[in-house]
Amino acid sequence: MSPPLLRIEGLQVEFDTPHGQVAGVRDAGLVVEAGEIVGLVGETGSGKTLACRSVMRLIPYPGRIAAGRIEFEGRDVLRMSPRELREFRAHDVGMIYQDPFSSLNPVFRIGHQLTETLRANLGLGKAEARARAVALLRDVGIPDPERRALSYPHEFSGGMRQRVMIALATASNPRLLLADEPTTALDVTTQAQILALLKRLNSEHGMGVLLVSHDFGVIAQVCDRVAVMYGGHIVETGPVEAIYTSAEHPYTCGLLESIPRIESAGQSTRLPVIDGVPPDPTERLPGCVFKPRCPYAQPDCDTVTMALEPVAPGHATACPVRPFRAANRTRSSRTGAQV
Amino acid sequence: MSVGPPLLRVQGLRKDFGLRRTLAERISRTHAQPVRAVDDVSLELRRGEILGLAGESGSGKTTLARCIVRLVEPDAGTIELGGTDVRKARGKALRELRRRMQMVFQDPYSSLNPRMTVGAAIHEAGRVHGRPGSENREQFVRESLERVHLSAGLAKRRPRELSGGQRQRVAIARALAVGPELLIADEAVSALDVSVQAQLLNLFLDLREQLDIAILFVAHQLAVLAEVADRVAIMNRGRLVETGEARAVFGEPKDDYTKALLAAHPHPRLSSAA
Repeated sequence: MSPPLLRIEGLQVEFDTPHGQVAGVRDAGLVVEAGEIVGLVGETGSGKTLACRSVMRLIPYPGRIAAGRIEFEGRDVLRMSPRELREFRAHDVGMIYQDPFSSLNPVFRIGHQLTETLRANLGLGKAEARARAVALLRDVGIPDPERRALSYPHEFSGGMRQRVMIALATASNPRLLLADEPTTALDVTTQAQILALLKRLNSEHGMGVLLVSHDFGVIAQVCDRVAVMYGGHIVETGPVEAIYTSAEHPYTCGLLESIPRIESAGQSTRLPVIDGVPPDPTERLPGCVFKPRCPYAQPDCDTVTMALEPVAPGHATACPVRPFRAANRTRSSRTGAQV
Repeated sequence: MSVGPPLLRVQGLRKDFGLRRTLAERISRTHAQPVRAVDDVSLELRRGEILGLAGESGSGKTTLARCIVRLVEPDAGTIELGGTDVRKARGKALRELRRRMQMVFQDPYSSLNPRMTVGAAIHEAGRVHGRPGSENREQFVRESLERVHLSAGLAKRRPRELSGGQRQRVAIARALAVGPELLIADEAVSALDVSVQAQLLNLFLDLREQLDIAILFVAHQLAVLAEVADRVAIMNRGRLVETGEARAVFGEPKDDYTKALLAAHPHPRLSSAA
């Protein structure tokens, strides 16, 4: 069997700060197969963006990848020489960021920014690159691409700019696309268009996609598999249907239950909430990272090591209490009171 | 929902924003067509009622909210709060109106003074408006914080020491400290994570029950409004295209724009049931 498109194992991302070492990602593992869309979902500070950026080795200083392996088609990304890394970033992966407003250079025309990338990455000639740039803009659904290539970024709306970012990221036909919150800054109608575009690129070019998002709605729309992150750990991973219908981690359940729903209109019921606050990354408590907020916590949750255990084919959870729903609910509250 | 005359009555509200003229227009002495941010908007809000205001970015939701408290001066229309004409108010009367209408903004970090402790910020609001009980600072702050389910121990902290959810609770506590009748929440939960967002939404529902205040809840996420609002108003290009009971608007939308908005809304359920 050929190696998967992307395999992350035991990834540890640490920051050296004056207050000591802070781990942003702890022992995270993830696989993306070719042609697959994998969602990485988590709340602010859960480490999802760091995990995503680690693949490109783009961890901002003073952060560093302290341990773990990242393999792209079997090649060890962390051991690549600068030249190999440059090639890897240019041809094999593309990345789009949350903010389409600050990712484009405001003083150059859109077409220029695309042709520059095409010439540098693919070694195309001027005319060839220009034709290709227009084709790319057309491919991501920008009307009148010949004329729009002459526009500056400020003349584009948020959704149009994100389309340009996608065109840039996919300019060299990468086999893996890293999309870090690509629709967070956009309106729902624009979001739906961008997600449809990602899905189309995925099915037409067989491109693997790692989609980072805090929005379960986005994940449900496009992903094949999901990994849920909490406190730097991946706490559950599985096919998207399994996560939605039979989540096996209390955090995933709590998160899914607390999503506002259109169907609630007209009912004055309260949303179920997860008590407490997310963990402080400077503190490392022994045992399960979710234990302080977990309504099903058991005494030995203080001592377990967090590791994903399979519960069904392709579905694994880090919760040691199984099935946790059978355990006594030790706490329950819907007030969201905070200490 | 209580019955009786509406607390807030907005009629035919209009706000234009003039665009800067281009060089060509200045030379030819022509004026560009102004952008009508709020176009003939009328709405009513009763005590103890939560009205959700939805629309895409640029639809005029925030301008409408700001017009109501006169952070932006409307160009036409009337605004009445409990029978008082908001647009005519000046000086002392306007200050009193502003006490009765409080706003909570999207980004609690920029709406709290980073150099003031939480307690000082809450107390100042009460003191400026001479609220009963504000002479006793400690008790005033404690009660304000407890109202939003925060412990009194936070009073000595500064905004940067708090999480996003806690900061937004502080911003709400400060707004409530002056005893408003109308609370305008402008995308107050939009920047928060789902688990924190759920806690805040429940808080708004609690406050409505306990204080019997009216809440104008502005949000671009329809599902958020579905959780809290009794009635919703959908805004598009400055106009209210549909207004009604939340269940009716979301269940059987009449307007094409509302339908499109609902169709584009990502469902946390699976798009294709497997």
